[in-house]
Amino acid sequence: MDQFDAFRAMGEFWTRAGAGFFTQGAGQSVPGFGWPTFPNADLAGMAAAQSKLTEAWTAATTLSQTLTRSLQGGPDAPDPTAGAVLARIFDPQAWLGGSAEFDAALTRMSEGPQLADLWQTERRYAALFTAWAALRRAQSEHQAVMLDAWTRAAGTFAQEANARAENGESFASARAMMGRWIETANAVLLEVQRSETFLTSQRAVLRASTDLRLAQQDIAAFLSEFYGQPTRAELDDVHKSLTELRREVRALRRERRQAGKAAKAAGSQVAEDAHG
Amino acid sequence: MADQESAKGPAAPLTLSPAELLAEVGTLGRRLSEGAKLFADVSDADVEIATTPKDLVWSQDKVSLYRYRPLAESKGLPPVLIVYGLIGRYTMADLQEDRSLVRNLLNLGLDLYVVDWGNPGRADRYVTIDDYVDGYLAECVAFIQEAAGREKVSLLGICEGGVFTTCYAALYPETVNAMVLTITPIDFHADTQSARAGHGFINVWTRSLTPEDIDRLIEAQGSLPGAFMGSVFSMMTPMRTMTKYNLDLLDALDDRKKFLNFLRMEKWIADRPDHPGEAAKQWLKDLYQDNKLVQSAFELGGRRVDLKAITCPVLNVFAQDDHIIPPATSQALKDRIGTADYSEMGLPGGHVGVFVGGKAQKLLGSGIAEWLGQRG
Repeated sequence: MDQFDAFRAMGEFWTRAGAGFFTQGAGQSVPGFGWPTFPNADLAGMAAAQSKLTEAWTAATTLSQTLTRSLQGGPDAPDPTAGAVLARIFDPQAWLGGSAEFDAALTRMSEGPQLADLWQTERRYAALFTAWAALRRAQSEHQAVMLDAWTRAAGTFAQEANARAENGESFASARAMMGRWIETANAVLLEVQRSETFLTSQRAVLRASTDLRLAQQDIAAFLSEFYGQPTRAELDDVHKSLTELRREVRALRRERRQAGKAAKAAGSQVAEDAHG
Repeated sequence: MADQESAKGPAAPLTLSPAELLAEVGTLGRRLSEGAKLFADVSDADVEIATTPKDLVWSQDKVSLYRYRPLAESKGLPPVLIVYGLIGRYTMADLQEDRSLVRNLLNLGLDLYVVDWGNPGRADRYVTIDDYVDGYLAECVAFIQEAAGREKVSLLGICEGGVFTTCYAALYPETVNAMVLTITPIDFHADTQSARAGHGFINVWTRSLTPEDIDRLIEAQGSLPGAFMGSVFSMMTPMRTMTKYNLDLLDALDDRKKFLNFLRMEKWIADRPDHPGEAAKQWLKDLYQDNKLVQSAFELGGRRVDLKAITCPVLNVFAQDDHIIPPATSQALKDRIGTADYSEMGLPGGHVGVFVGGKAQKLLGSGIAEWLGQRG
């Protein structure tokens, strides 16, 4: 079983296990205890998205390795560090999520507390889990869009390089070849980023990460209230009041300043008149 | 389609010249090793930014107003207030000694102030653009008027800060001597006038969201996180983002000066404060989505920002290759304001290049000083 089969099998197992766990009535055999009714997390959708991503990933990885090997001049390239740099430049992983940075930013924004902190609040935890599954699904779907783009760019580049080779033309240097790859890839990426497919899938990731963040905050608010701590909403109220008070203070200061100026101007006028 | 088909299976090996390529790979390894040594030698002081001497003269809440110490004999012109936006920081105007708009202007005898919005946090969620323009900016101008004993000051707005100064000049025209706008969006939908690849992606991206998406994002985060905006900017130059810490950095390793310039720029990029939530909603919904500014329909402090109310002379500086604020979005100001004294200056380079690019930043400083000098 290769790593992708293992990954797919794990996804299926997780789907079955998750669906069983969240079936209404599970846990009812314990007297006096019953699981709340959980919303249905779309685990099948998440697994399907991941499976599709896995297929795209396999094709992209093969192509990436071929390109990297070709650029290094074969498997016996002398410098592992330089080899790693080249591999990075042709790595489709860098394209996932539009840029890994964008995905990471969303992940950092959405993933606050550890899941282990949340076991006391089953109903909210279920909502959180649903939001988490939805985010993973949205991310997988978005990554599939990006992998498709990478494969398209790499295919275009490989075709061009092969055509050059067939015509007896080679790149002047490895740097020139990388430059051509960057140019090709950039053109494809810029085009993809303006496509409806890209914008739709990225918007879905943004929405899902926001939903997850809000589900987390709901749990945090529940626990804060339970333990008598101020909630986010209460703090927001305080901050809102503070901002409004600052606005009033600023307005009063301005009024006082303008009144002072007016009085000074009037005083000057009176003095001028008196001396006039 | 043919490309996609061919990409399904492994590509045929590329027929390249192995000996030359191996030599190049060896050179690459040596440069990486030299780069590691260069990194080890760099100290914090080497990459300090915004070093031009200045004094704190006023502050309120998180906002600070600084006055730069003169570097040349005063020209006797009205003071100039530099206003940056909330996305990124004013330090870009004073990145390093030989790439500093601030120093260039001081060397030409201008009396220069800069407002620093500080680092807004979650507690600043409810701060609006009204607060920044009608509140803090108005207070800064009032302070400078008092300190300089002048009725009018000149404004120099940068990017979102240019929008702030535009709004201020429309709301308080009697206090503005002249206004310089740099890389400032006015018509947020004018990106559609040009089909240049990669230009105006933020405009496209923001319009792809619904107003509810933005409301919920702010509800969840309390702000528009700086790191999030940083990732959106990175998407605008996708391959550059992927290669800048390998290929671009390698290019900079040959020259210590170039290498330090690279690091200072990275330092500025990394210093990206969060944008207060309610102000971000106005920025993204009222301006980027609904394009209210150019229609004179944007409201601040209960008043409409009427561009025709801007009566001071205006110099509008844009970057010819600006992919973040495409030139057409800036140039839209022409014919929409209430003054015939309107000039444009299109400089070579991109959004940031205007301020730090070797040639453009010199033209920028002298161009602004000369223009202001002619308007007294």
